Amino acid sequence: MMRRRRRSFLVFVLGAVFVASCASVLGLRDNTRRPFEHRAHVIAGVTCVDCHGPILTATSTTPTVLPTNESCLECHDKPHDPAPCRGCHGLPGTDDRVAMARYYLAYSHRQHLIPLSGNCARCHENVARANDSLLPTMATCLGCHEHRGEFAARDCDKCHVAMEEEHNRPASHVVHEANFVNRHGVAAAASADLCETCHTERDCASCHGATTAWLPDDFEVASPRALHSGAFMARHALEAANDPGSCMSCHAEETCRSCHASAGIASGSGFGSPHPANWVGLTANEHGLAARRDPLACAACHSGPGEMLCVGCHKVGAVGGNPHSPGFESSRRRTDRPCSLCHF
Amino acid sequence: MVRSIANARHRSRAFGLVEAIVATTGALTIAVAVAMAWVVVPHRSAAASPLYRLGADALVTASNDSTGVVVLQGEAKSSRWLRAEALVWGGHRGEDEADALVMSLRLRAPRGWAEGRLGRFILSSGVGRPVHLDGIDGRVRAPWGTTVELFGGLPVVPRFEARRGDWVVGGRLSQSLFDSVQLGASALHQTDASSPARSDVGLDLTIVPTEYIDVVARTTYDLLSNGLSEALVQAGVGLGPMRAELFGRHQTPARLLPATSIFSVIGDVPSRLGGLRLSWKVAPRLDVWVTLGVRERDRVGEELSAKTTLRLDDRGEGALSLEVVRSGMPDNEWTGVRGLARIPLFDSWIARLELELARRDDEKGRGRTWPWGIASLAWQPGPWSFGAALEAGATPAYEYAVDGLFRMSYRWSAE
Repeated sequence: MMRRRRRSFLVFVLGAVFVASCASVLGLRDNTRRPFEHRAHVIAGVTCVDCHGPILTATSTTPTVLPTNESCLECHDKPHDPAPCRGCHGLPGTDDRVAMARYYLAYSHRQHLIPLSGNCARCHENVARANDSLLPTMATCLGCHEHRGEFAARDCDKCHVAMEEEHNRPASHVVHEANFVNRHGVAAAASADLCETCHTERDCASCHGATTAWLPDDFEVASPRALHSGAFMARHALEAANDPGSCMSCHAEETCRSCHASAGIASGSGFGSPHPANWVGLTANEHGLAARRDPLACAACHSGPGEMLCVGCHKVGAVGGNPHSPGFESSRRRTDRPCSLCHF
Repeated sequence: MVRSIANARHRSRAFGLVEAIVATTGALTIAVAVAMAWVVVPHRSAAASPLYRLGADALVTASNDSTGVVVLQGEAKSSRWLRAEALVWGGHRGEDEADALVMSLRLRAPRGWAEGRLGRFILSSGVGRPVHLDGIDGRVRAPWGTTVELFGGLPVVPRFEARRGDWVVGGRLSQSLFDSVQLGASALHQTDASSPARSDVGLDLTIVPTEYIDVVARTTYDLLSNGLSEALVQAGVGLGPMRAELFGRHQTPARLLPATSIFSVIGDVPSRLGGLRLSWKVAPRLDVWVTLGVRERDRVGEELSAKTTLRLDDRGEGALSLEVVRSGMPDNEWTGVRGLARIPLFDSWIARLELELARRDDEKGRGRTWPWGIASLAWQPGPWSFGAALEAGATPAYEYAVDGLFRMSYRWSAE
């Protein structure tokens, strides 16, 4: 009986340790740091400027005015720990958020103090809660400053001095979660000017450019590659075949052709045909089905001068016959290419 | 670089003097304009503190076929109404290459009622695929929510080559309604060697009725081949830490090819994709994404993926990630799994290990299992960044390949 109780107790302790560890790893709980006790200080009659004194004259270029150990010691003359106060009293990341806001936002405390009669809580409303993240949200700004015109005109620079570097993701009208790459095209087509408020030209051109350098995508050694991740070189034929058309969103045919030529798997590269037996034959015409399914794969090697390779067989009177599918129609003139290859 | 430009000039003469002048001198003029904007304009502007950023990257691979590239990039924002950006690169892979990726000057009216771009940039306006353009793009906004955009220029050809009769022109008209709906109509016409290569019209729609719901849709009609080349629709719902998104897409690959290709005549099998994506922030540091999709080409197959990322610190500098993918299109079925660990070490050092295993269902003479991995170490002291990596894998083309990658970067910025 005693042994069973001891075992149950041991299991309970181990379980508690495991759950506590998981909570810490998942960011649910931090063992060492706690929110700064803003509310307790306010209730005790400590005013904001007692700790954040320089804020009274702070302009848009003044450094951050977080309290130092010395300002804490003015009241807490017998600290319970010699370590820096804000090493424990304040959540991790708070200093970073404040520093980023100072760097990326054109904001002057001095200009706001007079119209708000020195009422800091008008913007820093979280001071009433047990929370040390007092940065006002943008919704708080919009409570006084109606920015409808600025939103419509994508005129964000007045406050956000470098949005393309700030990486401050909008909370509502655009959501850049991890799979945004799958759907960014349709959003960019409708609101390219919205994208341009944060992103530079090279963000688009590094994928969609016709003159993109070949190496940089391979060199993100500190972070994972975003689009062609992992063993893409091994899978790309499968992905291209399964999603015909997707490659052409970024790449020109020349991309495929030059790479296949250097690898010796393109037509005319002197390495022989990469196609299996019966690819082109009288009994099993696999290439026809493949070409209709995924013309882009064929175009990687056979477009341009390769058009003549097709037309040599696929014309009326030749073994390939009429290339047009039933009901085919086109508004092109017969003198335009590729019509002129046959209809001259 | 000089040699490459000289080669470009030589090739250009073969296509015609006018095109050569437009392409090479045009690019040089833009470069000069950008340089002038950087140097001169900031000193005359006292309205806002200007921002300048410069960056340089040197990248080298060590393998049987060693390659290297140097990338130079710069950006200047002299005031709220003027911004310039450029990125040029040069390197060697089999032969010397050099080119300009971006050289653009962006002008903006003080209150944003008009803006324009000049130079080399990416154009994404309503219809179809983005276009890399040497040209001009202007946009005017009316107070009642109407926006008119017009653009035109020469499609970018690598190495400043010029081709006779290549040009692009188009525009987009959009209207915002009730701050939550935007409807756009657009058109684009492109020629290739004086023949029409692309003539598209399109409609796009964005609806954001609440901050939790968004719907975007776009359709493009090919006037040359008389058919729908592309249609996309996505509807998302976000509820706290969860987001669900329905998506559908129809593409006709034959109409996405240049219209001068013979495949635009014989290819007629469209592909369709539809499904549901879910993302869930399970805990502050733990994210999960799941995609359940179905793809139809001439047959139907599943497209499934699941990914989870656990950040090891609040900044996300350290992370563990696991992803599983299944693509079930008949004849091309494959399954893949990838794991990633990124561990901050000490004093701005970061180590990363990424492993992947892709396995296709049937061999087809090209091997069935393709492993891949990369181990890297990066050090980022201040504006400098150094990185080295060893990459190894097997592909259908190689039994195995091993590459060494080295990178050195410098970033400089000033106000």
